[in-house]
Amino acid sequence: MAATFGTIGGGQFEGRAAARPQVMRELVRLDPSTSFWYMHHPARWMLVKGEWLPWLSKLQADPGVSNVDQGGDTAASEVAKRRRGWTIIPWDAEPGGYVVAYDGVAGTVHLSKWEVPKQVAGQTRIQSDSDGYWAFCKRLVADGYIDLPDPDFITIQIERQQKKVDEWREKAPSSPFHRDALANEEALLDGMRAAMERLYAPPVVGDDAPAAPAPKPRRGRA
Amino acid sequence: MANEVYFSGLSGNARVAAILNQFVVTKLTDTASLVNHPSITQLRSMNGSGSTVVQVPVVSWGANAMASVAENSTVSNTALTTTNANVTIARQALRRQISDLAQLTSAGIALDVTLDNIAADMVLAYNKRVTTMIAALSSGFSSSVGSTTVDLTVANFYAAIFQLQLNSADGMFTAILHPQQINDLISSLRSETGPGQYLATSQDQVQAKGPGFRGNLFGVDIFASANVPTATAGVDYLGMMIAPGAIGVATATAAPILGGATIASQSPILVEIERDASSGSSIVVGSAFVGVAELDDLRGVGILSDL
Repeated sequence: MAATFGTIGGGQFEGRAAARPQVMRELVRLDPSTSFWYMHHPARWMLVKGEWLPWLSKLQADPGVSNVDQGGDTAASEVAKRRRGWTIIPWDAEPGGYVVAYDGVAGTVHLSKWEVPKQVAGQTRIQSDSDGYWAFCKRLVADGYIDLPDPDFITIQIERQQKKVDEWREKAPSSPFHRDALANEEALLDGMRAAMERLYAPPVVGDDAPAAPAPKPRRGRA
Repeated sequence: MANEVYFSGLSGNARVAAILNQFVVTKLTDTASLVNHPSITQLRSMNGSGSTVVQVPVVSWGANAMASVAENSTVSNTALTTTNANVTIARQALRRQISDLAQLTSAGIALDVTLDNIAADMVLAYNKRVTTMIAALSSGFSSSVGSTTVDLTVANFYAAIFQLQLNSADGMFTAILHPQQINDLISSLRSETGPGQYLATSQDQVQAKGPGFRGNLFGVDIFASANVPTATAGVDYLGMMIAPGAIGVATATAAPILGGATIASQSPILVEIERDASSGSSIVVGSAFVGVAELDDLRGVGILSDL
């Protein structure tokens, strides 16, 4: 017996979750922003929670900014940045990508996966998962996207902190602010030195202490 | 007694629920503008240039000193280092649409929502966009000072000055900071001792240097902008300190074009009014072609501090 279109599926229909009318959609109340790539320069490292981690920057696909062309093509911008020593971090360096797009009131809003917008008392706030972000930065070194820093770049920062501590020691006897904060600055200086030693120390087999990340072969941008 | 005349009886008939005030209050927003700021290098107009990219030659004039030469020795050639920085322009635009009914019912008061004022607002829209584009460049300097989740201090401010000085940058330095960074900097200043002094801005300085100018600290002009970007997953602001020549801006205008259009004086902004007769409304489109980019990496330093 020939089937007719009316009988296909046996009269069964599949439903889907109802959606709000277009005008009632909840949109992120942030200015629109373009997608971006993280990038890193060999000189940019920062001490975070006792570890030297790469300090990332953003390459925005924003037409008119840093040689991104009218269509949002970042090719010329990437060439200029690479020529100056920057490394562009591919999206797939993080499983699922590290850029998330939201529908905003005035256009698409792009944020990192560690920034989640939320509405609080009529205001838009960004909930930041900074631990997740720094773990990602650490993985970039372990996975070979970013090389270990030249010791000079770390030494410069330690010397800068040393100068600050010296200056604050001089001020401490006459300034309650510097006297109170001096201990923190000295601890920071000690932490910088200890983290630098750990960064370049060869991994010890059987040691429970976190080993310095061993760079893997560099991977290019996807 | 009966039939008294009460407001409640008149309301909606001889009285109205509300009337418009004779002036409009401008909603508070950041109108700081780096357009035409002296610290930003204005590059050539791209009109008639044959390209969307302007290439700025960077030549190391003055970098090589003469050296002593022995008698009867030949002087060998010393290379002149040259490089370049490019700036690519792209269209920036804003469109608004106002219905005839909204236009004809305007009360004729200053700053009311009218076709004229919408057109005039395009200048502010342009300023805001260019300022945002310039502020976004703070992320691209290879040198940076400050720490994540730590308030900006005078020590960081000094570190930025020292970095520029170590790079032999000269001219007037300008710090472009988020208002929160400036608040933290001023708080830090309260604990400082010595001759350093923060010179707050005056009205005539704002007129001369544009909205957003906040004063001068240690010889550095401080400029506040809420468009300074966040960094490190949104927990910090990333401002910058620059010397002249760090950043360049190139512009072009679509004018002159055929049809009715207005060109904002001394700017590349073109404002066009489109008529949509079928919907009974007028469309105002403001546009300009702008590109910003870093010209010399050594003339800028990023300044990172807590939100």
